[in-house]
Amino acid sequence: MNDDAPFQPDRTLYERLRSHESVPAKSPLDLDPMLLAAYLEGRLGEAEAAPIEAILAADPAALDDLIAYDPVTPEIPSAAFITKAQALVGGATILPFAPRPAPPRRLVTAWAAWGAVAASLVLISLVGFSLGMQTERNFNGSTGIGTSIDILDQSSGLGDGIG
Amino acid sequence: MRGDQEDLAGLLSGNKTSWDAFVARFSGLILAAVRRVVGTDGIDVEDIAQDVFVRLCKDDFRLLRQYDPTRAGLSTWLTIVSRSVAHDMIRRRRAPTQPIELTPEAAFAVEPNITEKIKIPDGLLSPRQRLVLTMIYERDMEVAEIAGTLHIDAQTVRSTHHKAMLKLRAHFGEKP
Repeated sequence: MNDDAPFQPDRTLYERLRSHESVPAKSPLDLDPMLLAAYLEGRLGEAEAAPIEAILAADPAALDDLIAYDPVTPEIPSAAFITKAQALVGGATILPFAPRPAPPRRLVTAWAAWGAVAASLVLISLVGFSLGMQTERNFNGSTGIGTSIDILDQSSGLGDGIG
Repeated sequence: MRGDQEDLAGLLSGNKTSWDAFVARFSGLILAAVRRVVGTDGIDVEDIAQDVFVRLCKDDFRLLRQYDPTRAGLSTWLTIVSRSVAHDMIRRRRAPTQPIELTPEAAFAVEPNITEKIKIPDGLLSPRQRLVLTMIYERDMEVAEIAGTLHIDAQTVRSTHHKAMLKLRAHFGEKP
């Protein structure tokens, strides 16, 4: 290039100064995105840009990244992609897992249940007893035990004096 | 810019409609920025782009609150954030998964990430002077190209180079 021609003697000097001293490179990912964005838009003065330019001068990968940077042309996203991203805010909240606290013991309900069982048993007993009594009464009525004299042989004379 | 500020105010106050509009507006940009980094690496671009949105709204929009509309456009900032997330994801996925027993012991030796450095005393050149020299002599970039990359005019590139070389000659005892 024509611009390079005046630099040729300087290039010789520069290359003489080159050494292969190894130094740890800083990562461009450590840069503040806000600072880098302002730098990429050319909004920083030389003093503000100094931390970024120091990294760019020392890290070939960071410099590659800067040189390759240009505004991207937006793609057309799928509806599913947009819906999924929109659901990140204001959608169903996923709470972190926490053990559910044990519910308080409901003593009244437990007592009521046991009371109902007891009442049922009493009721069943009463009904059973009542039915038993009724059956016995019916049985006695049909056999006529109270007047057993009627079934005795009159001729035997065993009933004499009873009626 | 003004619109960005209004949208952001609604967003940061937790307005669902603002978030939905933000997602609809910037999904394409974020996808493109991620794809630019990932390329054809076989990594799901949509997964990484979703991760960008997760990071933006995480912890009550902590990352998004760092955006300052007076310093740069929202698109530029989102592009930087998206690229950073994509680089991060690539680094993680390339991490070795070989069982530790099968890894040679030498692999655990700590080796610094090294790069070539010009043997110039610290502070002799400004970072910009050093960067301009790097771009000229190590990347063989043209003045106009450097000017475009650094958002400075071509004359500034030339004068920066000239001043840097004067300092170097003076320091190393060369005649100009």
